[in-house]
Amino acid sequence: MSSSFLSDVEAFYDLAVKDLALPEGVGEKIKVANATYTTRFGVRLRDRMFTFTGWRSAHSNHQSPAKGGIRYAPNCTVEEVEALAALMTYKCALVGVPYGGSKGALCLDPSDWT
Amino acid sequence: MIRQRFLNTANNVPAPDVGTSERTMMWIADEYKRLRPEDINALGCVTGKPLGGGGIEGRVEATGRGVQYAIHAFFDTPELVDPIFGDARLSGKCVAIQGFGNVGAHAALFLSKEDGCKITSIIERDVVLTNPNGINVDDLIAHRDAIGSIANFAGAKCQEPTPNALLADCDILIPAAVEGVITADIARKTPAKLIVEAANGPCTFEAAKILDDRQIQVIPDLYANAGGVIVSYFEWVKNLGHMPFGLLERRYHEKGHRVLTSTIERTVGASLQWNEDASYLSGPTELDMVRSGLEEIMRRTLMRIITEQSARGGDIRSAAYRLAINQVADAYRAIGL
Repeated sequence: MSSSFLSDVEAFYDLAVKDLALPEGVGEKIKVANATYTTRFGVRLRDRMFTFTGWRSAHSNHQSPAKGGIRYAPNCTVEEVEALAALMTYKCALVGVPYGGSKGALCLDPSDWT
Repeated sequence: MIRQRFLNTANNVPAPDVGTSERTMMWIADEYKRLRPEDINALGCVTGKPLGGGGIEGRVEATGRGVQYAIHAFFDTPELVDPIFGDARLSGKCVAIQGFGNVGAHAALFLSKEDGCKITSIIERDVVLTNPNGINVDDLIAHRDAIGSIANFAGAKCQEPTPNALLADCDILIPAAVEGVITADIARKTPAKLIVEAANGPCTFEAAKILDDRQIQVIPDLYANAGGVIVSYFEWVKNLGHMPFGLLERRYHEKGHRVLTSTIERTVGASLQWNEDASYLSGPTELDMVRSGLEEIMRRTLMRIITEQSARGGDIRSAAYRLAINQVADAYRAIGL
């Protein structure tokens, strides 16, 4: 479901961009995420080591800083994070907030660790 | 991420989302300050902080408040509201909300208490609440805070959730949980006339096409739930400015308003009859300014979307995407790319 979230956001994008007369290649550049950082880190808890995986995607840096939430959820994926980061770019641009778009996620269920 | 220069006040600024809160943001700010003690703007490395930690009034309610302002703007636009509702009155409309987290709970509270909507269904992972006369959201929040769940709430019928729970009878459906919940099947069957995407990506691409064919209006995520990042922007500017909004001018405006009213009273020889709006005599508080700025952006943006939609057609979402894409393209154009 998560990977189709990214393809859905891209489909919404494609539907809209075809009605705009952008210079060749610009539409493709705006669509893709600039950079996605993966982190895997270990934490010693309850007498053993646990490894956690997370991502931070900066979809666009056409304005600084890139802005977006960090979610903690057990089932998140890198595609979901990139879809949400893209939405942040479009959201900020639409409402005129001078930010690029970003999003992060950490794969864990917060209720397991509190 | 701080050490990789992937998280800082200038380059990349996080905020709360599903599963994170004010406290999570404060942990990040605290760690950032420890690693970068020389950064005078360290507090701006993250938004959605608690008030005592450099946050801003109105940030917790911001996304739900923005959803309410988006709905107000929609109902004040006859070309949008007339084709789907016989009357353009928000009061009395039946609302179903999926998700009773920060966004869903605030939207439910504001729509029921301030706008006279009836919250007839609340759909959560573990329970579905229904009450055709409208759920008392204040009572439900108190119940949730007491027992940690909205299950077993006495003010509504409580049922096990089913795949068809989203098909609850309503005028307005507000998905405020996660992506992908409005599937093609839900889109074909929903009785709602208006869907407000308080969550990110609740309607699939396929579902959005079906809703458009059925002439069910969708207020799309990139507009409907922008309140969070808008108020985050205010918070970040407050952090960089190192001063709360309204501090310099509040008393000045208040004195001006009082001079004006006393001059009018002396001139006409009678005292002015004030109603509850007398609060406007005082200058704005930070919360007043945050809400005012948020409302301004939400209303202005819907007007721009409608203008774009009438120029090039498509649904509200496509028009919003075109405005957004053009804005980014303009930034590239400005630097000659």
